[in-house]
Amino acid sequence: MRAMWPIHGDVERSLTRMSLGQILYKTDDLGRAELKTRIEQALVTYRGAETRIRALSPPTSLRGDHEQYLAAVRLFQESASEAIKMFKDGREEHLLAAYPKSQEGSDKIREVGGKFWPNEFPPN
Amino acid sequence: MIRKLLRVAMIVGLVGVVGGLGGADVLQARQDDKEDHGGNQNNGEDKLPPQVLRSGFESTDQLLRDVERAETAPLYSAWIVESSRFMFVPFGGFQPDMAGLNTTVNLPVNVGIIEGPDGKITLYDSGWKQLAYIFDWNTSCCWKGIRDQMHAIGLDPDKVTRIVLGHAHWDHAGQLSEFPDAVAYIQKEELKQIDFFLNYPVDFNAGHIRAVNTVDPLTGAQVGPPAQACARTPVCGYPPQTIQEILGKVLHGKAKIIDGRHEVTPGLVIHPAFRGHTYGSQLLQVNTARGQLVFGSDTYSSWTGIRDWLVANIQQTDTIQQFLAYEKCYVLASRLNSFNNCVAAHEPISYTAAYPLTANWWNIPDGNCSRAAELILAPGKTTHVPASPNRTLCVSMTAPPHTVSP
Repeated sequence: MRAMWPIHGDVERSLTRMSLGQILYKTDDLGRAELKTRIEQALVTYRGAETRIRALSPPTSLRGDHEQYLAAVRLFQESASEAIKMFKDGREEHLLAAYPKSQEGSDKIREVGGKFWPNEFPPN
Repeated sequence: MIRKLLRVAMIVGLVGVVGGLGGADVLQARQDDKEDHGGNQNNGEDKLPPQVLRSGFESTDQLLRDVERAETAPLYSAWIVESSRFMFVPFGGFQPDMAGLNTTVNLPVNVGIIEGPDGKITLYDSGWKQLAYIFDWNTSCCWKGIRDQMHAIGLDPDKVTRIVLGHAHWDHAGQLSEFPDAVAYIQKEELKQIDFFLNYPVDFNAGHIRAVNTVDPLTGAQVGPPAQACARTPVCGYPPQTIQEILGKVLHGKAKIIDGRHEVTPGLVIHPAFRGHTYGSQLLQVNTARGQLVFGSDTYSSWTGIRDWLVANIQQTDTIQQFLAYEKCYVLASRLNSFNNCVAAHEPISYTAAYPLTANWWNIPDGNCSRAAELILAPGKTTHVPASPNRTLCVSMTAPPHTVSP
């Protein structure tokens, strides 16, 4: 779990930056080029995270969570790859198509995150 | 001739010095205020109190005008339901002035349900979604999905057309996707805040202060909570999952990102409460038969805090701004019921006679011990309180199914 923490932090920050980037792009508070940079950076982080997670050898009891987190990171990659198509053909529908995957992935990492780091998001 | 010229120059110089001391070059506070707060001159506010933020400022006169306008608008009905309940929270952690009591409190997470004369429903906040977090890893009670809660108290969740997010922390903005057709209202200030702190410079704090998690300031290693929990760091309350919920609304054209005061519809007015809890916190004024109700989410975490002028639930709060937000409720509710009309999100004595607005409460049938309260009905509307309401306080830590498979 300790080995997962820095990976988790990188994934969460990238995902949040990418999601907020899309929101602020839609509200005209972020330019197209800046959004592209954010998504590309996030994709690099997700790919790196997958490599790092694969390199871990979890105990049997955590194997399911390990797999779940891997699945989430793959969903984030697919989501970013889909979103990035927007910069090739100019169609913003790709953001909409990318969304369900990032949403599903974020549900997964919240499940695993809640189990691994129960106090990560204390009462607000 | 030269002497004459020197004499003239001296006189001119003296006049200039004297004039400079007593004339236009002297900084006039009033002028300075006019320069700094020029945008407010048209409102008759040419001098702001020093503690107010320009952004989100509303003068007393402006607020009173909103009361006058609202009073000509339709009357709304209003309820609150308990999305979930934080158990055994140290009282001093919630309200610093209560630290000396050395006790714990249970904090409901109240969601407002507001029904207009046309039957359309506006939610104020949308409760929790993070089920595993709630039940398996936290001392929490009573979660029930809002849609089920609404059905159980006789309200149709399909009538929800708007969701006003008092702020976007995870326990208040969690079930947006349960209402795909509803439009979410959120302050741009809230989003900009999260974005700013995501990129918070770590040059001078070794990464100790960060958006999502932190690093050990001594070793530089990233570590997990509780040693380095991000409870008080600026963006801690926004897991990616919550931002995804908001993104979904934006991408589907179901979000209104607003900037400051906004009249949603006659009788429903959003008022900024920037930094009252988070940077983009917002209140909702609702015109009812008992005067203006003011929903405050976590800016109004504690109703007794508003009543007794105590801060509560300090997160990204500027405590002065929280007090100023309390003041907005006092002004908006000044014609009827005063602070009794301020609706708090986490007031421990919610659903008791001690918080009179919420006294008409009952346990939601099959609601996993969550509670509802009828705050006020519009004239001619029938009560949703059962004839024999179950008012036996209960606690349920039972988790609904929530496993996510890979």
